[in-house]
Amino acid sequence: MAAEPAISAAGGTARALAATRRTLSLIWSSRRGRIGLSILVVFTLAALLSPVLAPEDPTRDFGSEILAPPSSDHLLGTDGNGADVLSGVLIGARVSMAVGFAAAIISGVIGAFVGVVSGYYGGWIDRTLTAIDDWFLVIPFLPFAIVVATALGRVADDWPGGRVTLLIIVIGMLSWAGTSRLVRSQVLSLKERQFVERAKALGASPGWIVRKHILPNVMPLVFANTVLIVSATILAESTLAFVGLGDPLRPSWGTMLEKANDSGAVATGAWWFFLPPGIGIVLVVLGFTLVGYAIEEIVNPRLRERRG
Amino acid sequence: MADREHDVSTTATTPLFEVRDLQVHFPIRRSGGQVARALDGVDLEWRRGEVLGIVGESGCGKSTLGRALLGLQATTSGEILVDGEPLEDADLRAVRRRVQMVFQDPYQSLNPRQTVGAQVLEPLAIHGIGARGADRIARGVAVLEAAGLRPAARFWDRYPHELSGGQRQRVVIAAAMALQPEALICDEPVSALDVSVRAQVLHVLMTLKRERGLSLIFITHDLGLAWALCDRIAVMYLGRMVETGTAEQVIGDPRHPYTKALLSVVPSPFPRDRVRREILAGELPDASRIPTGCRFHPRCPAAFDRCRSDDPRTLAAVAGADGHRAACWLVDG
Ligand SMILES: Nc1ncnc2c1ncn2[C@@H]1O[C@H](COP(=O)(O)OP(=O)(O)OP(=O)(O)O)[C@@H](O)[C@H]1O
Ligand SMILES: [Mg+2]
Repeated sequence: MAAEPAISAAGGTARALAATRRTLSLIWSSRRGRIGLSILVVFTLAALLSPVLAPEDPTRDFGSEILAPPSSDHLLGTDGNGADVLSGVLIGARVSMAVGFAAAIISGVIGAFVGVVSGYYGGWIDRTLTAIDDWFLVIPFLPFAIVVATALGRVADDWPGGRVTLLIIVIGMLSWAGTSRLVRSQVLSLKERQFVERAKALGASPGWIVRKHILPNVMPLVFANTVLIVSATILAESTLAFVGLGDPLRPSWGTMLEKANDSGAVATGAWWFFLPPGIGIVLVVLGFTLVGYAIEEIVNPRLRERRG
Repeated sequence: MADREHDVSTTATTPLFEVRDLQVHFPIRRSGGQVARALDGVDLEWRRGEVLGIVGESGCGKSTLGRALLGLQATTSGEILVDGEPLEDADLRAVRRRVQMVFQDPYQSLNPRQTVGAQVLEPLAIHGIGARGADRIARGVAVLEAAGLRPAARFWDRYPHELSGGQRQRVVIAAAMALQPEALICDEPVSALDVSVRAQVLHVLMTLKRERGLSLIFITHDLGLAWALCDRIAVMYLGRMVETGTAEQVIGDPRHPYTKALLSVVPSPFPRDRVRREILAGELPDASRIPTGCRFHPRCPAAFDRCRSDDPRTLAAVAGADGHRAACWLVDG
C-alpha cells in the first residue's frame, strides 16, 4: 500500500496565507502595483503610529505662534490656531484612512450581499433590488450626504466615534450601488456555469451554492472593487469634512483643509498649512487606485480564465 | 394491505426511470414566440442495473434529457417517473443522492476555487454523510483512489487548474461515487478528453459499474463506443428517440435509416458492413425548425410520400425481435 496520505482538515489557514502572499507578490510584480503599495505602506504605518509619531496633540496644543512657517520646532509650521501641522497631518491620516477603509468595507459588504442575492435569486427579488440600486446610482452623492450628515450631526455627537462614525455610515451607505451592479452581473454568469449545475446535481441547496460556489468566486472581484472604492470614500470624507461636516475632535485631512481655508492660509501664502493634507489626500487616493487596478488585473475573470 | 403487495411486485420490474412523451422547449430570443424543441416527445425506459446508451448527433437533445432526469431542467410537458413515481412529487434531494451525473466538460464542471479534497468532501457535507473530519476524509480518499487518483494525498490539495482533463473527470467521478449512488448519468464523459486517456476513464467507469452494480446512462455521439459499453441503445434524432433495442439489435440489425447512416460514418464493428457506406447528407438538424412528417425525411435516402406528411409518432416493434423498435414507416410491426 502507498504511504498513508498526510491529509488533515486544517490545511485552510496555510492555504489562505499562501494565497495572500501570492496576491501580494503579483501586485508587486507590476510597476503601478509597486508604487501604489509603497505609498500605502508608508501612509498606513504613519497613520497607525501617529499617536507615537505626532509631536503634539493638534486638538489641544495651541500654545505656539499662529501660522508660523516651518522651523526646527515645527517641521511643517503651525496652523491658524497655533497647533503643529505635522501632528495634524499624522493624526489626520489616521482619521481619513480609517473613514475611507470602514466606509469602503460597508459598501463592499452591502454591494456583495445585494449583488449576490439579486443575481442568484432573480425574479421579483432581483427587480426590487435593482430598482433600489438604480435609485442609489442616480441620487447626487454630495447634496444627499450633506443633508443626511447635517441632519444627524447632533445625534451622532453622542455615538462612539462621534461624527466620524456618522460619516462612515453615510459614505458607506451611498457607495455600494456600483459594486452590487458589478457583482450581480458576475453572479448571473457564474450561476450558469457547469460547476454550479453540478453542485445542484449533488443535492446542494441554493443557500449552499451561494455560500460555497458563488461567494468564493465573486470575493476577489469584491476585494478589488473595494480597494478602488477606498479612494472614492477618502475623497468623499475629505469633501464632507471640508464643508464643515467633520468631527472637530477627530480632525481629518479634509478638516485641516477647511481650517486652512477659513483662516485665510491660501490668501496669505501659508502653504505649509494646506499643502501637506492636500498632498496626503492625493497620494493616498493614488495609492489605492493603483493597487486597486493591479488587483483587478489579477482577479479579472477573463484574464485568469485564459491562464487557468 | 393489498397495496403493499402490489408495490413489492412492481418494484422488481418498475424501471428506475421512465420517460413518457417528454417535451422541453426553449424560447428563442427575438424570434416572436418561436421555440427550439430540444426534446420533442421522448419515450424512454432505464432499467435497474442496465447500461443504457443514448446516441445522437450534437444538438439532438442528449444533455437536455440527462439534465431533465435529475430535475435540473424544467420540462414543458410529459412525464418523468422515478421508481414509478412522478419526479415532481419525488424528493429531489433524495433522487440526487441516489442518481449522480458526470458532466460533458470536465474543464467546466469543477469549481476553480475548490481543491480536489474539498470537491470530494462536498457531497458528503451536503448530505451529512459520515462524521466531519477524519471519517469523511477517509471516504474522500477511498473514492479518489477508486477513481484512479492514487495516492490520493498527492492530489488532495491541488486546484482544478493543476490537473489534466482526465484527472478532472476522475475527480468528478469520485465526488459522484462518494454518495454511493445506485445510478450514474454520464454525459459524454470522455468526448472532451485526449484520445489517449479516454480508455482509462471509461475503464474506471465500467469497473465502478461492475463492482457496485450501478445502473448507467451513457450519452455519446459515438455508436461504436455505445456498442462496446451498453446493454441497450436508444438512438436520438432532433429531440426524439428513433430506434431502441439491445446493443446487438440496434448495431447488428439497424432498422431506422438514421441509425444506418450513423453506422456508415463510424468505423463499423462489423467489418463486412463496411462496403455499405451511406453518407449522412442534407441540412444539419435545427431544433427550432423540425420538419413536418418524419423529422428525418429531408436527409433520408429511403423517404417516400408518406414520410413527408405523416409523423411516425410511435416506435413500431420490429417483427421477431423482442424490444427492438424503430420510428420509421418502413418498419411494420
Ligand atoms: N438553455 C438553452 N436555451 C436555448 N436552447 C437550448 C438550451 N439548451 C439547449 N438548447 C438547444 O436544445 C438543443 C439540444 O441541446 P443539447 O445540449 O441537449 O444537445 P446535445 O445532444 O447534448 O448536444 P452536444 O452533443 O453538442 O452536447 C440544441 O438545439 C440547443 O441549441
Ligand atoms: Mg450535450
